[in-house]
Amino acid sequence: MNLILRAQVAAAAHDIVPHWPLESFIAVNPLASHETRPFETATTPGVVLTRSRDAYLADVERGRIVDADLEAALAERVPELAGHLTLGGKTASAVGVAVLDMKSTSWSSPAATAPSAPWLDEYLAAWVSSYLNPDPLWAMPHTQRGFYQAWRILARRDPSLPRTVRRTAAELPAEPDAALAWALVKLGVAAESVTETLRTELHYLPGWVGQIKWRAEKIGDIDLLSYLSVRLTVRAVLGLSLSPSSPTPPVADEAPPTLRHRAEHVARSIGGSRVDREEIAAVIRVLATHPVADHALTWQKAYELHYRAALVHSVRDTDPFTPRPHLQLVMCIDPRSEGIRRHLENLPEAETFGFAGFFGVPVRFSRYLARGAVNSLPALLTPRHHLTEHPTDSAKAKDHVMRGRSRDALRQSTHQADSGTGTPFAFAEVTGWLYGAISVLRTLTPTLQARIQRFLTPSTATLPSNVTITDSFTLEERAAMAETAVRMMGVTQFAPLVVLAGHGSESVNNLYQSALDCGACGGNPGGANARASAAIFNDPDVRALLVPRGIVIPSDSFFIAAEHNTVTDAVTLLDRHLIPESHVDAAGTFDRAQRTAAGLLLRERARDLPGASPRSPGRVQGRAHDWAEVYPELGLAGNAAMIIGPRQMTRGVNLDRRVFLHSYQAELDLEGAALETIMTAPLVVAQWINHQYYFSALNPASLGAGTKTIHNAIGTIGVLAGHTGDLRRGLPWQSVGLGDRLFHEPMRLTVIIQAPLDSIGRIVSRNQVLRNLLDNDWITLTARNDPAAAWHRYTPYGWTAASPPLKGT
Amino acid sequence: MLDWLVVGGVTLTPWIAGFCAAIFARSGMSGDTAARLAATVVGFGFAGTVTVAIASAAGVHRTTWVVFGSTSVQLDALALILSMLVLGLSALIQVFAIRYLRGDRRQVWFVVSANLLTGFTVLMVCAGSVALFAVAWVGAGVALVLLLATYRPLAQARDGIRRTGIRFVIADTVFLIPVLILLVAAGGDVPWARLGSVTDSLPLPLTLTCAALLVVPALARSSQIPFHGWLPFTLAAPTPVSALMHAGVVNAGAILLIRFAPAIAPHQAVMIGVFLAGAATLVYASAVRLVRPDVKGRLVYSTMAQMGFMILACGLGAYAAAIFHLVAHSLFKSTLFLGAGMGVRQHAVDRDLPPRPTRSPFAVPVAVSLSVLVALAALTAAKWMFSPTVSAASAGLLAFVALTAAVALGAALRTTFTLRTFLTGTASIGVLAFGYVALLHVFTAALEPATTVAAPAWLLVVPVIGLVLVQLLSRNPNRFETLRDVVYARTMAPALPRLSALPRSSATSGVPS
Amino acid sequence: MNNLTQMTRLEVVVPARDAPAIRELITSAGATGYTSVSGVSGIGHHGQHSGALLFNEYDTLTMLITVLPPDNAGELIDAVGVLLSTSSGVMFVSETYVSRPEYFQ
Repeated sequence: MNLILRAQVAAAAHDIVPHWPLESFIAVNPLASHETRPFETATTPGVVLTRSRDAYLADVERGRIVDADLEAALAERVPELAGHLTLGGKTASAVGVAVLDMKSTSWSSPAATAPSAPWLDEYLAAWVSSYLNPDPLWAMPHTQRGFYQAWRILARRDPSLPRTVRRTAAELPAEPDAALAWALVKLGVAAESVTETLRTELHYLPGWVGQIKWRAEKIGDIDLLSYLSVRLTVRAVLGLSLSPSSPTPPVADEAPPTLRHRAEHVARSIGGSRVDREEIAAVIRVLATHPVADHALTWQKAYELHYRAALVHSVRDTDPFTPRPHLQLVMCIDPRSEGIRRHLENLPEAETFGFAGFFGVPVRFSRYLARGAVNSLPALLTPRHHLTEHPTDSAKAKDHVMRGRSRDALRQSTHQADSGTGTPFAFAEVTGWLYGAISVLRTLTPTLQARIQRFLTPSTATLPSNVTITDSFTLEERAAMAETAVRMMGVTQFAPLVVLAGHGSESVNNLYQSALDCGACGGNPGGANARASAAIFNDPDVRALLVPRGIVIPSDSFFIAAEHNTVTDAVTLLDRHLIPESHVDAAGTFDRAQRTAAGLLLRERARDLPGASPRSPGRVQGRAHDWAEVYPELGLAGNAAMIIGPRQMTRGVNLDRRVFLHSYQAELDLEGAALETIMTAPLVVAQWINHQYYFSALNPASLGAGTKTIHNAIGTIGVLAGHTGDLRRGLPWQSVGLGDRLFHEPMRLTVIIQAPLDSIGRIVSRNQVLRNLLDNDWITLTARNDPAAAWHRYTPYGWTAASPPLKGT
Repeated sequence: MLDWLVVGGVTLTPWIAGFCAAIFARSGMSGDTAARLAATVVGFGFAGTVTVAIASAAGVHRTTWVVFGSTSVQLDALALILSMLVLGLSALIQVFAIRYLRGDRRQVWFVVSANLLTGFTVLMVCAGSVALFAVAWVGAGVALVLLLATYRPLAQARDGIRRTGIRFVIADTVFLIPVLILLVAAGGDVPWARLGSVTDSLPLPLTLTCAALLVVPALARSSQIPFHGWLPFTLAAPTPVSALMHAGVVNAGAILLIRFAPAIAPHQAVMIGVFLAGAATLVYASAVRLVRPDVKGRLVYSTMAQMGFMILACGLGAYAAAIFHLVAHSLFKSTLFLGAGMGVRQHAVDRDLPPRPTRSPFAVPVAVSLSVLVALAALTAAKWMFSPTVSAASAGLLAFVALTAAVALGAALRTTFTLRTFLTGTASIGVLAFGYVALLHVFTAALEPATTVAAPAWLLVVPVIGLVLVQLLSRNPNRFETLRDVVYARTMAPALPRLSALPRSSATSGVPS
Repeated sequence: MNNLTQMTRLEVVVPARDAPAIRELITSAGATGYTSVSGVSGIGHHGQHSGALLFNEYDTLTMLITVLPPDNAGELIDAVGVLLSTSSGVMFVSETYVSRPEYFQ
């Protein structure tokens, strides 16, 4: 073991963002390692941070950015811009001069190209993918010895390498540490530049490298040490010298105009030909504070401020507490919940809340007697509790297992017939006719096909069962989870029926289906967590423990779980067998209300969904079963803000499904403990999602996954675009755009909180993650003490009054 | 007049569809509308073809001909079966692509070139004479390359176009030589019926050369060794392109071999060559498929192996079996390609299945013997019922079916050893075996077999040994280690980049310390 | 001190996301065990750190403590030093005494 070298590898890999597999797609900020530095310095090869100048100018054309936005943006970014100038007898403000300069000065921000070593990258990608091959038909030999060893043994037989190289490979050290050390010496890397060299090598194939980092921590079958050993050994053996560590700087299309040129242009356009030299000098002094290199971020800021101002403006003053509602609905903070909540609130006696979609119950969940489990909890947590189901009807359970076994036998029999060497030929001849028929059904009548399939193979979810909360958690843990949820949401009274609705997305033939599921549940549907939470709240022992803690749940309050299908917008009640006789009517009322709400929401969504029409909402629902559909739903596209505060702030306001909503009542959380939890967990998850969309939209080729239509899956690990190459990261183009137009507006998350500014400030100051995000402008924070107070904006130097609401569309 | 209408109805719809799509797109209509229109038109073409096929099968209308001089378009059984297949799949895939390529900037390009390809392919299968076939063949090749250019801006797509283009240009140039010889010898176009006599009129060395050269384009189009280096590099095109290609283009090799059978089949040496090329590809591609980690890569090599099987069947003179395989495989593979994104959901569904119970030690041998018995019994019974007389070649091919049935039932029983599984499995195998043999019988009756001097059936031993070897090596982790490593490294090699692609390769051979 | 053996004790405080790398180094160095305390709070070079967060184990600090024979400690100390050179975190090294040295070898 070479400990120092291992440490150097770990140091080189420090900034690599782990890349989750497709089956549990976790939205991450692909530039997370830059969060400790200001946003605008996060430049990475192959990546742009803002849109193009033309795009912003087009926004000016259509009123999406108005002068006031630019002025506000300049005021935030260049606070020293103040005062007035006289140009040719006319007076102009310094800010106005800078705005004019922004509109007239052109810039381009070509990204440096991402590093690539075509042959070596393809070679490594082929080896890594073959080594990690999930469900292989022929597993790579020697994988149990690790990646480097497997490669070393097989490379001796690799006909694509020259004989001399194969002979050298046979004599390589057996251990990856030793091989890497040997290769570094052979390549002439000085001891002090080892870490830097390794870091440079990890910039190639970022998709695979991120996946390896994830696997090293979560599965452990490969690590970056063995990857680097192979990579550098190949370099050494083939005599491929290391590339220079600094990527080639981007070449701008045209040299930016000089300061004098800009100043003259601006001065003339204001003062005409009568401006004199001194006036131009004054303009130069003004424009020098805002160099062309800063323009892009100022444009982006203006673009965001326009939205923020309108959003802040739309927030209402809080009404006093209402009488006891008939129905309460708790949904995930996910922006898609906002739509269904808004439409359900047409019922005046209904009250809705936003809470993290795992309902504060972090579990590893498996269905009744299932062979696998999912981590249904935020990626910020490690699973410690296993939750499963216990069927209520043993006869049905037996039948269920029987069906499962038959299905398994069928799967296994087709799999074996298809995956042998001698059997696929006749298999294709026999089953081809059946497949053809299925193809026709799936393409022409997807809904009918889904119905037939559901009839033949009913889903596991239909087995009536209870979740095993008492086995998974102690009574004290359950009471603590219930208390936390109540305090975080600020619930003071409980309705007779409380619906806890998780969410999931139903689509077929969609490798990115997990990206549409609940982010707080690790990219899984949130139904199981909702069921667990409802069971906890209904538990009399838990309720008894809550009373001394000041939370009194009336005995006529019944909690029930539900799942919101974000494609069809149906909110289906789960565990219906648990509903007591007394609450059957209330459940029926809820069913009717959610159907009405879903109908309204589908029409609303159909306006944005490519190829859909508000006149046929049924077609929108049909996308859940359509194998040809690449836009089953728009997911979290459009997400731009997060509001932490009571629902009264936004009830009745159409937020266009763009805002994460977390319920919170500052009056009930005097110590700020609940707020700290909200700001360090749901807020962080929302920020990950927001930046995932932001960078996937701006960099579809490097940080996004590109178009779905050429995706080629490697099991459930990830996708390639085409037959070879790097694993694609981020979201596919179909999540953010249509044709060559973006429908996701890339904006950094605007956070709005209604809570005492002091307590917010305290929380920020003791959490490095929040300091990083806020001080470095990765997200922004606007807050007010209470409904009567004015809005303030967080800055690293303290709170300042937020700019007044702006006009414009 | 009716003949003209019928032939036009079968062959012209893709042309109309492509033409309209191009015109509409130029006149500013949305790609979506153009795609919808084209798919509908081709769908009508498919419906028309089905009607014609039913009419001719019912004897209302015998083979339809349209003749221009010695060139002709004919709708015989083969032409009708394949036209139905190509038009049906093309329409289906185009309907799929309406949604799949929604908003895509290259949608219209896809629609136009897909219809061009469909048009040429239908023309090819309906061609009644050599010259027309040759024109349609080359046209289909060009259309395929255009289709691959759907995402031309991608480097991988350009690489695929280059590889495909080079192989097609070479193979199709080779194709034109025997075609020209035949045309010159006949002094005009040669209808299929006269092909045998025209060939016979040539001196033997020339006929042998013609036969050998005619095989080349067939192998290239079906991605057979030694022209296999293009198909795996065509994945940078949208999924519907792959589906169309794997369902309607790569199988053209068999069509050429069958249409030119009078010129090729009399030469046993050439037929053995065809057989061996198919057999070699079958073994090679089967092995490579096993090591590929990517879902579409597996499908590509699976297609190559299946095409190897089809070409091999042609080499054996089992043309009806080859066409049967062609049709079934087209349906099979297009479905798998279109559904190439199902993996994640499938994984989620499998996760919820119950764990497998521990098996009793008797289960495996009982399962194996039961499944072998059932499979053999079902097939023998079906065979005896429909076609008692059987050639050695088709008996050999039927052995593959028996093996598959046995493996499928055995796997099911090994997974869940219950009476229910056994009965369901046996019943399904019975139904499938009878259905299969009956359908095969229909195909054989429809496509009257040409009497040929084919490759001897015992040659089937060659690919079988190869397949058994690959199977043994891939399933035995602890035996034949060196041989296994060698074979594994060789089958992995197609995925590795060529070292010649390196900018500077200076191999060093320093011994590490 | 009676029957006690001198050992070297390492305490490392790092962001939780960097802890796996340190753990791997500790085990690679041949340490027979370590103690890991997650969600530690305090004030340091990067300002204040609140302790355990309810729903976020990722953005907290972890303290790892290990004890190993002085002869083996040198390389581990150097290695952790390399790792900390590029990321935030602190390391304390001290002498310690154990009663059952065979536990640590």
